[in-house]
Amino acid sequence: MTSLRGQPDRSDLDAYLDDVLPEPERARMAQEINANPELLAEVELQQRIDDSLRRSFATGGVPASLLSKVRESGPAGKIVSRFRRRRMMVGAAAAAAAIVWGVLGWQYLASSSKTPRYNPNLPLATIYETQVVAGFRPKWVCDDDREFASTFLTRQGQGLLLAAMPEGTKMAGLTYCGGLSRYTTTMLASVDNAPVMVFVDRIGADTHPPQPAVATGLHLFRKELGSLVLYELTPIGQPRVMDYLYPADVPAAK
Amino acid sequence: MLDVESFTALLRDCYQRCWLVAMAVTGDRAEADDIVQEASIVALRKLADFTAGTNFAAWMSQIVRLTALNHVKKSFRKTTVVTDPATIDQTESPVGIMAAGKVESVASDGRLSEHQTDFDDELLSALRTIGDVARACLLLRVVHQLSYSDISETLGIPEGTAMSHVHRAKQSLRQQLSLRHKQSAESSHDPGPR
Repeated sequence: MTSLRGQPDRSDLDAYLDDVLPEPERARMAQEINANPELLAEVELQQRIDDSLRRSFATGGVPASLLSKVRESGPAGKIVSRFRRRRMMVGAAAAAAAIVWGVLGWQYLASSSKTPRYNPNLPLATIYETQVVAGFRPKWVCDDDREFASTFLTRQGQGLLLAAMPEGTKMAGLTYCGGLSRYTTTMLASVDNAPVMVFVDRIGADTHPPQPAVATGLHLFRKELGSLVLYELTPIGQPRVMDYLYPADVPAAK
Repeated sequence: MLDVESFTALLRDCYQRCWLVAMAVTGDRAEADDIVQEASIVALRKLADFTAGTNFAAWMSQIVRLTALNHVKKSFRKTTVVTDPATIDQTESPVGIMAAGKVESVASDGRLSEHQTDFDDELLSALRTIGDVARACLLLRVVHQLSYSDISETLGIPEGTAMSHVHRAKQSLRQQLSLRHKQSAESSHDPGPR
């Protein structure tokens, strides 16, 4: 590493600027700085930076509103913060929209043709390609472990949780695109930037086990977790997502 | 277990530290305020987990940092539209909003600070290029003047790592600002096309 002057790294300059240089070295460094205009400019620039940071990130102390809310709340109380209020409003809007869509959907299904929305013969690789072409967007992103576990408990009869995943492996969310049955819950994830899907259903729904999609270059892995069966469909040669899932009860509400 | 009054007193003492941690992650004053508030409520509900006599500021700062990271993560999830599998990682990037160019040096109501200068703007822009942990170390050291021992406890990283982050961050800022000033000086002397 080189400094601004193109000379070897000067960790003693960093220590001097950070006020952690012991006294004998500090005095020597101060002399050296005074004798060197370039070093002096560097020190002055750092002082300017520090002043600017203190100015830009100054706080005016604890907002009175926060203290009063904390006092009102107490350990067992509840405060509706701006985030939570926004979330509640969005939740209420989503609930209203769900009711409207539910009514419209029911009317549509009752009046339209009997074509099933779920195609039981669709290979998982085709579902994968469809999802990728559509942007690999989840239908739902869970806010917390409780919501995540509840989704699987409701749909598959058993809660499921996700352990901390390593760097490069990320869960994008859930989607409901069939697979093993119309009730299959599917996770969309990315592993080293590659889209990966994990299909989750009851073991009882695994009556026609999907076949590996060799021609597509995708790999299929199967795993059973309690009463659930998991299929990971991935362009990577090993399962990198489903090993982080484990059966669990729905965590208690916070 | 702490009572609410004791909690409030301790929160008052460590508010600036918590706010800087939130600010380092989000880069937005209003969001930093909200995050500290949200984290305070979480902490209040988890008071039973806090061991009396241990470092309250460090415990609280960790809650603030996790709350801020969760908030940034959710913001990315909710606002990024993925159209290409190659860009999926962008929806989950934990780097922070500040790194995505959302640094705000304005007051919560949108007004520019009365002392805001071009230099401040350039510095804030350069600050975006630094990782959020390094940014938190730098702000806690320079603005809050914390010891490395306290920074280490606050962010859960070794003291040496915290110091290294601060020194590298300072070097990076000096280099970037020097370069910008050099370029602007050259352009001001450029006679232009002939």
